[in-house]
Amino acid sequence: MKKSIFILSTLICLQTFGKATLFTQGNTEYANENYSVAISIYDSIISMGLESTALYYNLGNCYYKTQDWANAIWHYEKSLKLNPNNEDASYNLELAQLQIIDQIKSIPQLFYKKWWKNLVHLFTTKTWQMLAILCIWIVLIIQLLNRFTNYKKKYLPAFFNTLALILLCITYSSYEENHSKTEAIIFSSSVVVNSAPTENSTNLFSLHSGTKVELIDQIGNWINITLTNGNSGWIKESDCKILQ
Amino acid sequence: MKKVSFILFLFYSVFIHAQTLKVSADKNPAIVGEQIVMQYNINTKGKNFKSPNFNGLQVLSGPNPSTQSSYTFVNGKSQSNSSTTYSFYLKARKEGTYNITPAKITVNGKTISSEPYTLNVVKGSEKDKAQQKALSNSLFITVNVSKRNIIVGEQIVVTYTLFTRVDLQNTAISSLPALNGFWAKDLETSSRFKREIIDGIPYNVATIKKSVLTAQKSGKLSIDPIELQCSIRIHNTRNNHDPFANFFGGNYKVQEEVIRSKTITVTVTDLPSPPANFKGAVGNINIKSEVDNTTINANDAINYKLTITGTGNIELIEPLNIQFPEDFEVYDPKISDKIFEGGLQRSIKTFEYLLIPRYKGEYTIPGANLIIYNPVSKKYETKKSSQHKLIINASLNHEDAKSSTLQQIIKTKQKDINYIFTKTNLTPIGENTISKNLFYLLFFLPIGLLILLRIYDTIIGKTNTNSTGWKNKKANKIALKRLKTAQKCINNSDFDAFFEEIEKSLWGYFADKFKVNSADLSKETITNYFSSSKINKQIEEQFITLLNECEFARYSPASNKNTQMDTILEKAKTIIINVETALK
Repeated sequence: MKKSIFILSTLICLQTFGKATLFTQGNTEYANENYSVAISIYDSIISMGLESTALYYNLGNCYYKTQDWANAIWHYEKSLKLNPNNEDASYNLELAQLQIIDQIKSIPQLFYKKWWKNLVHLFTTKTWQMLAILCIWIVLIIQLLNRFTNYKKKYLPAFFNTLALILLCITYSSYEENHSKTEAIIFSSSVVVNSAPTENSTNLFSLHSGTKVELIDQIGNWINITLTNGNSGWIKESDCKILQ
Repeated sequence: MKKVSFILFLFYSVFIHAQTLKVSADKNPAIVGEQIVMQYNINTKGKNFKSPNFNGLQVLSGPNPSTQSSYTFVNGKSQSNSSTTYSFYLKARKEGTYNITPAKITVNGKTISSEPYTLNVVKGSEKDKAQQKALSNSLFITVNVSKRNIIVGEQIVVTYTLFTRVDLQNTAISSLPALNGFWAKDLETSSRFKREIIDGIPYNVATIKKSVLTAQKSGKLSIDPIELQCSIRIHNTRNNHDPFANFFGGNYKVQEEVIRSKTITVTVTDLPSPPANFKGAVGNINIKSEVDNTTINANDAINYKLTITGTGNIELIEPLNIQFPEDFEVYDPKISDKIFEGGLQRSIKTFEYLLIPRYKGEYTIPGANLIIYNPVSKKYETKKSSQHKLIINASLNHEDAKSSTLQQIIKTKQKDINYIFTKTNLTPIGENTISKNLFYLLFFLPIGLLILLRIYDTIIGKTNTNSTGWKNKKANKIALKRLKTAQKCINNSDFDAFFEEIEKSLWGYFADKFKVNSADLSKETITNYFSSSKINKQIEEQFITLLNECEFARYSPASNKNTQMDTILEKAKTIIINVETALK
């Protein structure tokens, strides 16, 4: 029994090791400017069911170098989803956004929304989850100590209680941002945005590849999108790639 | 008869008012090479004279309009006349019949045409021909080109020289050479005549035009002829003895002649495969750089002068890319050029840069590079100017010195994406977060546990007397609450108030605990209630003793009241705690 566990664990080790070498192999191909080869190597890692912020970031760089702006933007966004603090990714994303056709001026967010967003982006969702759980367990431990020993702390549980509640909110927000279908990148070189989810409805405006849109609703294969400048309309799902 | 005369009169009046454009030539037929004067005359004022088509006749000059007006006053009747004449000076190169189309003019809104005119030109006698030849020998233009086979970008000098032996009254360039494929720059020429003797014949020689041509494309490029219109003064031999004419200089006649130079073809070949940074400079070119000051204070100006000298298309050289230090403020260069001054050997182009160093330090201005093609050695050469080391001292001006300590923003000239990450922590997709269910389980489990604990306490806590710790705590709390004011009195060393307070607290405690009416308070009731509640006899005694002690202390003088107070407070506390514990 012990032996089989040992074998299993070494197998798992080998497998992850293999993926790590694939990653370094991709990096060397990137360094040698074989960007399309690097893309296929990185993609093979993803198809194995693995991901990381660095992986998406590197893929974004590859697409940037091959001037596939839409893919580059999509991968940088993806990288930022996994780690909102990836400064390199946000910098490169900014550069990639300069290359695309649509320049959309975004309406500045309200200050508290911005603060909240910054707060949520401080850590990854997992970290927030861990913190929230840790907090609530601390509350439990303190309460038990109060109950069964002479160790008395009156305000500590209250403090941790509040903290846990706040952390719960942040965690929820962070989780929702990562897991709900809220954003997409336009992949077709030119898309006409319709006023309704039908082919012959009025054409409102057109979008080009690389533009980030927010998803509001979906009817069949039509999705309702809104831009950061406030415009909205319907496009076909096949014209964009959802960030999820 | 009368009728007829009347009709005639009418005709006449019509005749008077109808204007015609009359055409005439001074000689018809004319001789080849002869000067012909054609005149178009109208006896009123006209506008928009349209020249006729002379169909092959060379126009030496014209149309030259001249207007005459006369005003006569005869027998009280005034009459005014005016007429306009447009004259053309023509010359036929070949014999034949020339049909001249009508000329047109607008008078009072009406267009009037002249009659077409036919001019016959016949061959002249040998004598006339010889005369013509003699003229072309004594009046001609030569073209001198410095080089016939050049490469693109190379320069040649074209000189047009007029040779003359005749008496020239006036000359004017009537047509400039068309220079297709060349970039031309005219040089200054002196139009003064010099005497030169060729084959023993003296000529007056003048340079009409001198240009520097730079070939812009390859192929056979032709330099079209230049045309010069000359007015020649010829001595009139017929009226040689007219004293008046001699006196007024009228014994001459002016002959218009047009002479032209020959067409010249220059063969231009392409440059051999140019290097990447080659900007088209061809010739024997040198480059030199100078700095007026190598040691200077910050914020003072430095003049950096780049001089390009030599033969070649120097005027086409753009400002060179010089990597000035980032801390220098560089102004656009002042460009001046002197092209071909001093002959073919020397053109000078200077770029003067004004530099202002903003910070102290040691800087280097690297040399400027210029790639040229040398047509002599037939090679590309890189000419390099010297580099300059500059020592910049701190600025003397205090204000400036202060500003120079300001931090500089690091400039990034070109933007590129950041490099890839080389290390990573791969996780299975979707497992970068704790799943929702697990998270809720882990989060709400402790909360549930706490709630359960509370429920357990509220249900079980009342009946369970064994949990002494919990009870003690409560009793202690009660005692402290009761004796709070007494504690205050100790702090104030208020002796009387203290004992009163202790007594009050104890009685109050007793009354509250056993729900005794304050009127019934006595030591007997204490015994009754204590015994009924199965409280230890010892505790009961202690309680009563303490009450007695307090009473006693209140009314008797004591020596060390402060220590007494502390012990009594302590006793009161223990008694309350004891009673509390005993009750549960």
